Amino acid sequence: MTSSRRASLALLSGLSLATALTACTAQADAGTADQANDSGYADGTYQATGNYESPAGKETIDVSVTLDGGVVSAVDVTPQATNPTSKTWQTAFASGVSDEVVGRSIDDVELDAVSGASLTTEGFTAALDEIAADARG
Amino acid sequence: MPADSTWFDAIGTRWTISADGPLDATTLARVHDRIAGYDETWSRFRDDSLVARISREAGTYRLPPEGPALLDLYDRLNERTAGAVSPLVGRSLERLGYDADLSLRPSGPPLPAPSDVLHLDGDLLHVLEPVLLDVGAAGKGQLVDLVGAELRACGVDGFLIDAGGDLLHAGDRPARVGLRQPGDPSRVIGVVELRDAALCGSGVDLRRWGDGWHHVLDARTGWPTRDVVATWAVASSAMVADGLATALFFADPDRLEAAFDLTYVRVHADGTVRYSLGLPGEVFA
Repeated sequence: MTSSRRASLALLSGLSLATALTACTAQADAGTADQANDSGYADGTYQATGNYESPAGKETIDVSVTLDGGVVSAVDVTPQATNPTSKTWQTAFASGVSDEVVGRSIDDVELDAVSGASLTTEGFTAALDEIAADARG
Repeated sequence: MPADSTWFDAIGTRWTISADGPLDATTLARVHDRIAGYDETWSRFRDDSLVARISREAGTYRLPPEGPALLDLYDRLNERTAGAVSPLVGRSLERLGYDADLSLRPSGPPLPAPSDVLHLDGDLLHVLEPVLLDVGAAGKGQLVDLVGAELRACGVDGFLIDAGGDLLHAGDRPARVGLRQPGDPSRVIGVVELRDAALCGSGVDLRRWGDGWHHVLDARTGWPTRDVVATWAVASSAMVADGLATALFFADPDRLEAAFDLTYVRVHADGTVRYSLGLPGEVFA
């Protein structure tokens, strides 16, 4: 998947928290790391499983990070928690937040379908027209 | 490209079905029967439906096979949203003018939905007092699932059903679905790659009337919600995706994610957007 830079940054802060949580017992292994670059980090997909003690007991979280040109291009957090509260906190790491979105014209994007607010049905439009006519009296 | 496609209007919305194989007359007849049967049971806009009978008289009613799953989902959504999602917002919608005649003229202030009046026991629904059900939050999604089941029963395994923006996909070729920008139908704010899953959206910028009224009501007060303007949910079934799209107006997404397997996009009234990074697609942020 593609995520925006803003989303990636938001995620990184979440990730550092995840790392802090996992620091005691994390078993990290670099997956498919290969190319080096200026960032000092080799590109590739890294996966780690962390264990930590929550108030509800021992919990586990899986995190996968993809580096491309030294930049995080994808982050995947797979909650493994069994306790609902822990699961809620773990999934919170996996949301992106944006101050605004920049819509694109439907003509510029190749689409099979569009989803949004249900299109106004004919009956609904007719009813609104009737009210407008009444209002004009 | 799909080998066959068809469109028609039913239950107040435009349906488009695209299939990898032929959609023959028998298959389409089953689809139309399925939709008509669902409408006969669940419509709030006809006086011979099960919903209409429940609105007139307390008693015990036997539900059709899809009924228990629908009401169970409403129960789960009600719990996750602290009571905001309920099938009992019907009376408030009616009072605000979203009634059988589509008068769109409020006849009084919003009404909180009643609680503890429905008890489900297997396929029997005990109704303690007459209530007006509105299954608008998840019913259309469930009907999309049921139409999908009819297609599969007729040997159609690859398809995209689009019921006014509530979509169910099956097959190997993913569908690219645009997320319509609230307030501007000519633009999209993201694209979801839908494969063997459902995507449903809900928004309050269309179908508005009077003094800012719209159809997404908080059952606790009966008032239209204000903080969120559009939501989309991706889930394995259209019923669940549809219900979650409504629940996302009221509950923190984390609370829903703790109980359902979903990804989502949520647009707030102040223009900010929150979405799952696990979304199978992209938000143009």
